[in-house]
Amino acid sequence: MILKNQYITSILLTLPTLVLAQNNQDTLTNKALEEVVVTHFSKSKNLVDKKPLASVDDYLSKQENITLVRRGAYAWEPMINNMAIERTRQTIDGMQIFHACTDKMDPITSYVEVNNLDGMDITSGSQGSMFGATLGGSIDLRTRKLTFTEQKELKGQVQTGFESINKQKIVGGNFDFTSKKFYASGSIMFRDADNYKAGGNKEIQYSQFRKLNASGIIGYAINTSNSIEAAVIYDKATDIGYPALPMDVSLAEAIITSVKHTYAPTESWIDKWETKLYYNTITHRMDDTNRPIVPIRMDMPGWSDTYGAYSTLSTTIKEKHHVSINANTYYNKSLAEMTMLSSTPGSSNMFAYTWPNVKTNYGGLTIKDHWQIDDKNSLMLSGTLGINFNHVSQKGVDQLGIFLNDNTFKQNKTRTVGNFAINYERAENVWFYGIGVGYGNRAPSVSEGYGYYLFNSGDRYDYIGNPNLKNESSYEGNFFLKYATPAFSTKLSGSIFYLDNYIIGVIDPIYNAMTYGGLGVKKYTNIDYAIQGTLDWNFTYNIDSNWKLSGGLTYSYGEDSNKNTLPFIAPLAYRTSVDYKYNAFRTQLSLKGNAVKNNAAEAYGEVRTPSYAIVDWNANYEFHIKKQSLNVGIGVENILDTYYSTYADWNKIPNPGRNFFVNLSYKL
Amino acid sequence: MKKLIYFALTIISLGLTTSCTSDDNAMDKGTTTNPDTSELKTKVLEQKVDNYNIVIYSNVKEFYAPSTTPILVEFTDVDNPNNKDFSDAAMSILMHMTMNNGHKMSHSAPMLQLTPVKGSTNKFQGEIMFSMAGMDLEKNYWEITLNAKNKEVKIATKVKTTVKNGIFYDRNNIDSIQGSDRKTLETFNVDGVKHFAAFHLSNKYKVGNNDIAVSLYKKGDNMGMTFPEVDNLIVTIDPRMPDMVNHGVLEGIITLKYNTNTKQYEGKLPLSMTGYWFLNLVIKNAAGEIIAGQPVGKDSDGKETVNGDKFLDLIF
Ligand SMILES: [Cu+2]
Repeated sequence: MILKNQYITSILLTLPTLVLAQNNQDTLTNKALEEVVVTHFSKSKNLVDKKPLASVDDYLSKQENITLVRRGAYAWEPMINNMAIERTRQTIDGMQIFHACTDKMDPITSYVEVNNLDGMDITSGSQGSMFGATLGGSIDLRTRKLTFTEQKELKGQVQTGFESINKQKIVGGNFDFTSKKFYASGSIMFRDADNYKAGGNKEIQYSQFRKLNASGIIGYAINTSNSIEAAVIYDKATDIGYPALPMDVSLAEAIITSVKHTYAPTESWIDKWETKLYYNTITHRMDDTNRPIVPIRMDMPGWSDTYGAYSTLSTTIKEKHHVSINANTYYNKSLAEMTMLSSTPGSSNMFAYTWPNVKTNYGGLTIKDHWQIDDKNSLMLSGTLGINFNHVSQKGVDQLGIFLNDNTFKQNKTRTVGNFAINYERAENVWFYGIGVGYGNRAPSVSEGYGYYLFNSGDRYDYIGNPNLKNESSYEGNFFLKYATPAFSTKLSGSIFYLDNYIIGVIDPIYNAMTYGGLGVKKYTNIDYAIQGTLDWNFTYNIDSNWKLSGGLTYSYGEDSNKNTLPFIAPLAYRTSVDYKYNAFRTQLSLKGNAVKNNAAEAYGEVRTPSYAIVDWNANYEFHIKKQSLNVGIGVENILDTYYSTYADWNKIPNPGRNFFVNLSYKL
Repeated sequence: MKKLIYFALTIISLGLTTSCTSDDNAMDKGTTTNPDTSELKTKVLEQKVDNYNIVIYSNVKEFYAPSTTPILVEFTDVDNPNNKDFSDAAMSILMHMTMNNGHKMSHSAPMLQLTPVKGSTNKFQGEIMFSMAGMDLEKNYWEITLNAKNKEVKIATKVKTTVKNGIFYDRNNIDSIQGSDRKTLETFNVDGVKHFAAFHLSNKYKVGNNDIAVSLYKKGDNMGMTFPEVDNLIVTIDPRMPDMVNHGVLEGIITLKYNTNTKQYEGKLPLSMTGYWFLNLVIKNAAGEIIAGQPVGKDSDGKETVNGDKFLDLIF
């Protein structure tokens, strides 16, 4: 331990000297205040990072309120306030996209790339209902935005990178062309990774992946206030290993398209009126052909198609009310199959629908009002009301009929969902504080409502959907308290959720396990309630114009009405980092870790997780070559090559060991 | 510059066109399920009597024993295809055997008498429980006697047929599922009297709950010529998938209920996926004591993989 500490200290000490040797021009600026007026609820995060070619998952993992469940090196599952996709709303530019994997191998965040994105809006709790009902909050990934320019402009960059831990090769590029009437942009990114190695050089089998992502946007200005834009993202990942799961994915493919009309008049009561039509289709092919020994070969493809439209109008009333109204509708079709290839040659295969063609129609209206009462006080009000309609195939009715011993199950089900939230904020010199309450009400997800023998390799139960579930609702309270001066800022924030009719799988002892090695069947059930909460403290200290120290602590809580800990509740988590910058050079040494997790959700198959701490270092320098520039990012992650797994590592798969990376971006 | 724009346009148009055509995921692709055996479409026997043609259809190409075999008998008037007015169809069956010593004897078997097919006046459906094989049309064969009326004309004929030995799944050899015949007739003894458990034809099976019916018959006192229905036993079924680690659906077993109208034991059979289903059969007396079959037992790993010796089966 002492040795380790010395190691860290010596790196810290050598960094500035390295830097000073290189740089001696430019004046120093302090931009620390720029971010101060970030409210507790809607945070827009720009994708600026010390590691420019990090995955979207890496970016997400650094965001407040976000944790990620990891099943391998690829496609981590984001959780907001320790709540997964069923309880949150995850969209791309307001577009609903639904994952096609019954085992959550493909969160929608896996279908984009860093060079598609400008940033992400992360909203905690009921305030995040802009694009539909939510309990835990929302993530809206914002794709790149272009504007019309007086002069023709063409910008582009090529990017390449390498990571040592899994020999990941990254190549990509993008361009933006803008003019008075027309703009276009395109991007492409390719990643190819082998198996990664955990601490101690232990290779993790089936952790490879390959991903190609391309996108294109064209925009046309009809006149000064009207413009249209068409956009497409194509993402294709192949040969993706999931070391934590018994199956891999041979193909995960998404086509995400949209057409948008924007009306932004200069002299009108309307600030902006945006209408979008979109369509996306996802194909997911899950199989176990690469696994040498399996009790039975399985093929489990899934498909998800979504058509949708929304229209958002923003206006300012009496210069005090910033109102936005959003009308939102979508149609989704989710279908997934399971074929078990009999081990007996020539014998018949076994087949069932894991998602028996479930169609969802949603229509909703959201109204938000940000009311700036005076210089110091503001109020944020938001409300959503939506209708959620489900239709399931007759085959689905027949299948699930085995588990529902009554005739109450109909093909159609209509539910009313919605949100309401009110937040009050006050600013007083260097103090900012706010409190809020919220209510959310959601429909069960496709898996919760209609899933059929969805094997959870974590608790080893087959999960069965229940179309007769009641809606789950949340009653939320939140607060924040912030102190901010240019030199020092600190914030304490927290949310608590009382989740009524909490939906979770409950063992149904009268049914037999289907999957090999399964322990039995769990049926999705409304339990009385569950309580979840988070408390977060963070600080930033600008020691001088070169040095910055920041850090934070997050405490999470989650228990059901039977006093069982809920699954995937983070233990006490901490992070701290030292940043140094000098002109175009930036470097950071950071430490992050979790305390031991003793309160494992044993009722839900979790086991205790030991504590861990990880040290990362990175540096970034921008070379200017005439009008062009080359950005070089290098770093070492998990410097001490610690072998560890966290509470959020599915089946406790170990994390990558010491990783050296190089990222190069050449701006043309 | 222009190239870049074309590039962007191409990507977008490609995306839009492929997205419209990639809906390859319609349900009912029909490749994953096995052929439906609930329809009696295979022509097995044909015979002419006067100006009538009689065709017997079934769901198997060749009769086998032991089995509960559904048949559909169709009468047609060769001279006048519009004459479809047939009634009073009935059958009786006899197995003719020649002993080693040349002695001839015959016996019958349980059956479900012909009844008119709904919506038809020349098609009649019934079931024959072939209790043994006979492959020699001179010495060992089955004979189906058919009677019917066409308006006022009486029709009577005897149709001879061979019945092969069925090849069934052997619970000790998983590979024997391949190419096996469906086990639709099981036999057992109660106090030295031979009993039959006949698995009646069901509608097309589906993933879900399926209506099924089993009849119990016993050999009557008159040298195997009558087979009265048995109504005082308990029939239980435990559906299993032997080529998937013998998993079942429900913990425990399904008990069929005796229906005094149909004289059959009836119940709902849950099938959680398509494939081969082994229906582990346990027959109990009214006191609940097992008189035939064994419940599924555990192997040395503690897994329930040891099936009993009495069973029925199905594939769908
Ligand atoms: Cu999957």
